[in-house]
Amino acid sequence: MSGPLWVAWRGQRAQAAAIAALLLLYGAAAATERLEPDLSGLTFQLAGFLAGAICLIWGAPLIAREFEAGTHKLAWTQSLSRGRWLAAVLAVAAAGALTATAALAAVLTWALPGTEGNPMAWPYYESHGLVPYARALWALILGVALGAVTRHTRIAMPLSVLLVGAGQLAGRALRGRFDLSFWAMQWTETAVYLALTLALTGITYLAIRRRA
Amino acid sequence: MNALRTSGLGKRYRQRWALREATIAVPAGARAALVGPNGAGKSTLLNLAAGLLTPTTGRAEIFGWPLETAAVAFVAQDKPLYRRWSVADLLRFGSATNPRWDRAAAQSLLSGHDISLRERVDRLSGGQRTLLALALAVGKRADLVVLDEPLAELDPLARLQVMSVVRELEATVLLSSHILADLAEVCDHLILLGTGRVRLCGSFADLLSSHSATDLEDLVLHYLRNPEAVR
Repeated sequence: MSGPLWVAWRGQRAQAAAIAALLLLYGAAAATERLEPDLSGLTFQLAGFLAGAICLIWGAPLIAREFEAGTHKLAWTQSLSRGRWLAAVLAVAAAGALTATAALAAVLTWALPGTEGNPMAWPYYESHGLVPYARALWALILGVALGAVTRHTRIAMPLSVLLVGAGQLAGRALRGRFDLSFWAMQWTETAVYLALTLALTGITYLAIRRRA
Repeated sequence: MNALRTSGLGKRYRQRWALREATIAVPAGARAALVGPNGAGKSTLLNLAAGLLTPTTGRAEIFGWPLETAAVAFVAQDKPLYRRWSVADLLRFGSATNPRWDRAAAQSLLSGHDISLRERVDRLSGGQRTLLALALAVGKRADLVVLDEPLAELDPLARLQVMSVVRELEATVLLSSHILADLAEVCDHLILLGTGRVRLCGSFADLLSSHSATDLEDLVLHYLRNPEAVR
């Protein structure tokens, strides 16, 4: 792994392990549902937990923890610009969030094959297609941006989870107002999440650019 | 040639100026001691020299070039390090983020003080953590090494070890401390700050003769007791 990416990975592997452990628990729950169809639907409804977990465990502490420990003074006084440092840190975190989302999708496909029903009903819609990936990126960067702006994990963690939850509910409410097909809706929602992700990336960069 | 030159350097936090119109020169190869009461602006000046803070006014140059973090190695106050990493991880961090990284130099500093590469940072003593922070600075091969209170909270033996490492650094050094006796042994230049302004700046020899003081402690205490008398 190239230099800055290794540094980012070394700093984030504990978060990666925590998310992996949560996915294992979720896989166990999904396996139970496959064996006990009476529990049907529960696993779908829980699939949205991943965005909240990503922003809480991975996003919010990512930069806030550096400020709290003072290690940003170490990281930002090497021969690397803050922009490149941030790019490496976000690349590793984004790769982790996307991998976790793909793992979750794989678990759903394996545990609940051929589930019938309305594809626009939220438990199915929100756990299939592109939206889970875009939502995971948005939840991640929302936590990162809040951590970079507030500089405190104890503020950024609860606040980002609240906002991710509120964002998911708002998405659900807005979706009902439009009469779009599954994929038209998925593309639209993905575009909105990605635009928000880009804006929050810019805010994060501005928050760390001039501060010490 | 000056390793570090600042002109009109100032930093304001909201309404308060932490440093004003600081114009200093540290010649190449010098060991400069930054001295002053608490709140005088020492950390602000060092953070500006390290490129961590952006100045409100003025500018800083390293060997005539605009300041960039690649040219300066900085050990911040409290020696921030990734505490859950191993010593070897931190060396790899240094090599991953610095193109001129000198692994042999960093490693020999650590092995010279019996610091194992396998040890976790949070299991090191305060003196060992300071030496590890210095090893990262040495490995970076920077032209200027900036140390903010490197001797604070160290036991006497660790202080001796750190001072001998500082004395042998090949780069120009700018360090702050409250322990004047230690500085007199390691340093040859003095920068005295008071309430955000530079009060004295020059080599020990020049300053002592122009203020007819007998030693560094004499000169600094004279200023601290009667700031208006020293110009």
